[in-house]
Amino acid sequence: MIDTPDDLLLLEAEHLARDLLLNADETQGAAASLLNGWTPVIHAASAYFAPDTVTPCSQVLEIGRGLRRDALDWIGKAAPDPRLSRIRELFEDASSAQETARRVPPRQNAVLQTCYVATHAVAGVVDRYGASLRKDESTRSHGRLVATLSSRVRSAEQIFDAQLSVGQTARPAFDSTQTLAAAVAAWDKALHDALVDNTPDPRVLLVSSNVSIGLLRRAAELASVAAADGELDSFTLNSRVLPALQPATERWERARHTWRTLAPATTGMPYPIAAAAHTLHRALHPLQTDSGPQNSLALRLAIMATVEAAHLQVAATRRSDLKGMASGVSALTQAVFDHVPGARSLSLWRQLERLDGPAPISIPSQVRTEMLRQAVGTLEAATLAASASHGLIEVGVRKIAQTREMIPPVPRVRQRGGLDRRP
Amino acid sequence: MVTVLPEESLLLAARLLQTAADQAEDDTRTGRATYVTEADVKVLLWLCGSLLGEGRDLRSTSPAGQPLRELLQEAETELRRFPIGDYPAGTLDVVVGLCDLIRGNRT
Repeated sequence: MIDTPDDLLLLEAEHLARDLLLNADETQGAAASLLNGWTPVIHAASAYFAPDTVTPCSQVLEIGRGLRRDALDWIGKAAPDPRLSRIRELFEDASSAQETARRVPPRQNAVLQTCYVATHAVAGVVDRYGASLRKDESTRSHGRLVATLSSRVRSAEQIFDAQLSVGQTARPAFDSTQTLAAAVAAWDKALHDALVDNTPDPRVLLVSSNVSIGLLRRAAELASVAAADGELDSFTLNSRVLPALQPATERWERARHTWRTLAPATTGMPYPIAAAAHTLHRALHPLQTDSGPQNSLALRLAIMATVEAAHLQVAATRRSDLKGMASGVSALTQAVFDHVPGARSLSLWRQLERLDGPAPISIPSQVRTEMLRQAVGTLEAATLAASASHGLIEVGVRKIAQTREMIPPVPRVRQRGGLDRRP
Repeated sequence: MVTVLPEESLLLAARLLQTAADQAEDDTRTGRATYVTEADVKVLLWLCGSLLGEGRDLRSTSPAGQPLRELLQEAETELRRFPIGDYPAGTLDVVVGLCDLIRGNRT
């Protein structure tokens, strides 16, 4: 709520952080300017929590201290981004309010939310700038240095995120394979919790179909990139993996059509399902994707997740309490009876047609039989895709073993959170 | 003057996202956009819908065929009506996701 002029200052800061996220170049100048302007914002945010000496920004300030000098060395000098400078000024103005006014939790939360959005924006720009450098052989090593900067800003983002997300979803860490593994496990759990021993919600099954399509398409995409980069044997890709992924994707597309027909477009989708799908999507499509041996392991995980979803879909379709939107049940019934000779279909369809709206109704047994046949087909296709993806894991494990042997030792000062602690 | 509560504002944004998701699916089918964009939009729609109470209709009165980017920008603008903290917990993810998506679809 906007109760005082201070709330307006905080609202302006929030909108500026959103503008930053919407409009920021990915050039060397923009990255330098953002990194130079970011630390003063965190300083000002920390001052909002005065007289506390340990604030929600303390850990992030530590990251910022080490970062500024490295940013200067590795990216260059630039004036602070004017939007970040304005956010700093707004925080400084808001900090001049009496302590009792600053202690109000929604205001403190607003400061942290703005810091989170601004940090996410800065990390994104530095990520993308680093990725652009790594595309070219001549600037690749420079790009890797920039990547270490962006991972430190990402750590700061995670700290803010964790403070804002108490009791909500677990967010991705920033090792791509571990992140994807955790996200797949969380997705499996959310899907189990929503479907096993519960009346199936067609909206959940619609989300599940969409997620499986996304996983399979992403797997095909990453596998093709890995083959082009020589990380994956192109014979395995073209003779086994892609020919198995395609029919599985098509099966899920048919399943999606069925569930969309039955699922009402309404609010109230279970939050754990939506949050797990969101986390999985972020893990599957990070801002930067460099091909590497870990990708093969991640692909295998992604494909295995669709087998689990297909199992749960079969079980949900078998349940007698499965219901669907009346108009959808009517449409599916008509479609099934289109292929069955006899007049009985028409009278049944006409009865169903009178029912409409999002209220769920039972599904005729003939339709359920057809849906079950379709769900079993999807499970078979998903299982075949998983089997074909076995070749990926062998390549991935072999490459990772080779890469690990070549990694140079990391200096001790860098092992402790990436901060320089020179004596 | 019509008073709009944060939940109503979030519902308006969710309806715009529903239209955007339908549009994105069409765009994927016709090759105008990638499946990643479609998935981006849908994930935000599910998140937005899950933050609201059960059973509110998400079908929108927006004209069909409106460009995806416009729909996303309208949703983002709608969610500036109140400070993020006034919306149901979890809206921050929707806002950040929307901004990322709009920026990514700039060209």
